[in-house]
Amino acid sequence: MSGGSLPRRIVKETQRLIADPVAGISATPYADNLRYFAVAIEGPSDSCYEEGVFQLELFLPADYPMAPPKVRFLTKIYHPNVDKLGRICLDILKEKWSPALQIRTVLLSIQALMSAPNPDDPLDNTVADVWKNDEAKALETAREFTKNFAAKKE
Amino acid sequence: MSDMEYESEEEYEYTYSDEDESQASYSSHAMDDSASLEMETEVEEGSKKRKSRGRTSSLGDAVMKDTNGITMMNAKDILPMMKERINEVSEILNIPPSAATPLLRSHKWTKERLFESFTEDDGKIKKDAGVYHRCMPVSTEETNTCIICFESDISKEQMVGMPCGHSFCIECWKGHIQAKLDDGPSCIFAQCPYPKCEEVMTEVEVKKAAPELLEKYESYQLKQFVEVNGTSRWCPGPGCERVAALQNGSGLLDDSNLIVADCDSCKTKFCIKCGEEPHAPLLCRALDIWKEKCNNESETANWILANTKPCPKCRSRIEKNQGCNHMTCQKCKYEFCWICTGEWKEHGANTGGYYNCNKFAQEKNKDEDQSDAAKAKRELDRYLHYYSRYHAHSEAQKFASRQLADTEKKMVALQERRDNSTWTDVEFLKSANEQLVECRRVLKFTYAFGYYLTTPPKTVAPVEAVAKDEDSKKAKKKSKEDKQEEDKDEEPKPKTQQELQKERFEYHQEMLERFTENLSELVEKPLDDIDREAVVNQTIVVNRFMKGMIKYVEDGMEEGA
Ligand SMILES: [Zn+2]
Ligand SMILES: [Zn+2]
Ligand SMILES: [Zn+2]
Ligand SMILES: [Zn+2]
Ligand SMILES: [Zn+2]
Ligand SMILES: [Zn+2]
Repeated sequence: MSGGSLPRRIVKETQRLIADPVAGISATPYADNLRYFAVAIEGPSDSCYEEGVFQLELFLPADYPMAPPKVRFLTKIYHPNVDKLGRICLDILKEKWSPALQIRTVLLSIQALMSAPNPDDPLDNTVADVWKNDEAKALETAREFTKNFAAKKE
Repeated sequence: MSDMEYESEEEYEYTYSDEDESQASYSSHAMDDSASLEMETEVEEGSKKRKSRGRTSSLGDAVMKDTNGITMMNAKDILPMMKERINEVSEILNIPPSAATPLLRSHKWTKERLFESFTEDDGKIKKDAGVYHRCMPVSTEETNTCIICFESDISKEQMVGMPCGHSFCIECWKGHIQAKLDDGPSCIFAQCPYPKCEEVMTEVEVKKAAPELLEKYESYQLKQFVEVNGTSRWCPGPGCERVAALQNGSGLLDDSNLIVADCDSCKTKFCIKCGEEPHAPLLCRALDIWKEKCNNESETANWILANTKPCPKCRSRIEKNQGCNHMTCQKCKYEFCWICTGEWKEHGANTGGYYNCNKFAQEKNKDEDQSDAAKAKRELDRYLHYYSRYHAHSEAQKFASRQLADTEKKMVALQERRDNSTWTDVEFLKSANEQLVECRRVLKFTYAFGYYLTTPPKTVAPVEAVAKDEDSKKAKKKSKEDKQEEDKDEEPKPKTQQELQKERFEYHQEMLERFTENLSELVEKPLDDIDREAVVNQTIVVNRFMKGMIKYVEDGMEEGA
């Protein structure tokens, strides 16, 4: 694998992601930019995102791992901690970032956030309000979004 | 365990001698006296004496004692005070100095506070401050792999551990520390690089892993100390890095008196308690409340404060471009007062009444509309009355400040025109302008003060912040009694304590305004018409009166003062 000037850590992480993938998550670097990853996360079972596959993009900035990766949903998702641009409100992507965390742990955390939305720390207030006041309706909308935008392609 | 020993910290132990402290207590009166003495000397000896200023400006680095209990210093000069607190806590609690620092930091650098919460639940306190393991290190697992860069076979010397047992290679530490420093002042709260580990990084790790970054890191520690230790404040002057430290008294949070710091480097004067420009007679908390109010009301207030006013006689727009409130219409020569647009003649002593545009005459009509809307309107009017005057003096203060800057030029010009004159001979103009700036500033704040002096009992809090507690309580009680009487009979009611106080205060304010306008007019004359004698005398009169007024308020506005 030609890493070029890619730090050893990124090379190793990438190798491990491919050799030993996490269940329900795939991350593939783009050939022309090895810091840029195409990510797909399967909606966790027993969640309102079940049966969906969500595309994300992940970018490792120049000062990674001292700075966190930048991650964004590309697939439309109805979630109180994700805004309309797909940006994610997750502590480890901001102030709780640690250089000992990895792409793998970040993606696992995002998968966990899909299983357990946190409307008390919202990024999208309107979605969070529905989530808090009428959870049944929120879950239904999320399922609808999943069906309409994240359906598995056969 | 080897990484965790304290031996590397001994350089942080610091023996602090406090020989300077005994000299630091001067009363604030000493300053007043010397300042007025300075004034008098100048008059008596006139042009012969080169005025020597009481407070000489220092040359950069020196620590300078001021006469009001404030020391101006460079930030590093406050380091001994910081080290002293750290070492004391370290000794008493038997913990390393590197653990004492975060603990003190989470208790506003107050030892007493820290000791108190420490006796309650030291485990929680240590955890919250991120020094749990630093007080009780766990052994580090020997490892030659760094979990950040994934390198293995790293030599023992290249690994730096935290008291929590997590260790990383020096290169990764450097990256982590640099990234935290890039975040700015918050770097001192940076934690162990291990995910979700809450142990804080300290100067110990910085020194081991990135000694080249230690100075920067410690400057942030010091900066935080200066800002929260409760006795010091950065000079707010643009680009100035001096620190004002209060040598005695109960610290910056004590809002019961005002102490003005006078920066020896950039000459900025500021309130050491709150960092704003000096604001006597208003206390810091009242200033806060007033500024907040002005912010909230600014849109409503603005329409009334346009920078031009129509001449009350011929209606042509007049722009106020000088500091003086005595306006003369260029078109019809009508003379009027900028503040109230009343005829200027009526403001003078020659017509019997003194300056009376500072008074807000609240309509005393018994049948006045009691609806909420009408009350709100009256309250807004009352606020606008005070705010417009506050604003007018604020603008005049800005003007006077610009004048002051121009004065040097003026001084040179004056020297050239009059033979045999020395530099000292024209310095009176500078003094007069300095006095004007100060008077405008004080006048400005007397209107904020006046606003709260008459706040209806419904919004009591600000009154308490302004007036001496007992007086205001007395006054409030009294006014309640008066209200009951008022309901019974139609006799003209006697003036309440509060009303009398307000009257006396406004009288002082009136006088200061009058003196200030006089001085302003004298100074704004064309160069050749400036009457030196008159300016010098008026400067003294104004200075004395202004100080007297502030003291009168400080003393609680007692009768006969
Ligand atoms: Zn490393
Ligand atoms: Zn740790
Ligand atoms: Zn300064
Ligand atoms: Zn203040
Ligand atoms: Zn006119
Ligand atoms: Zn007037």
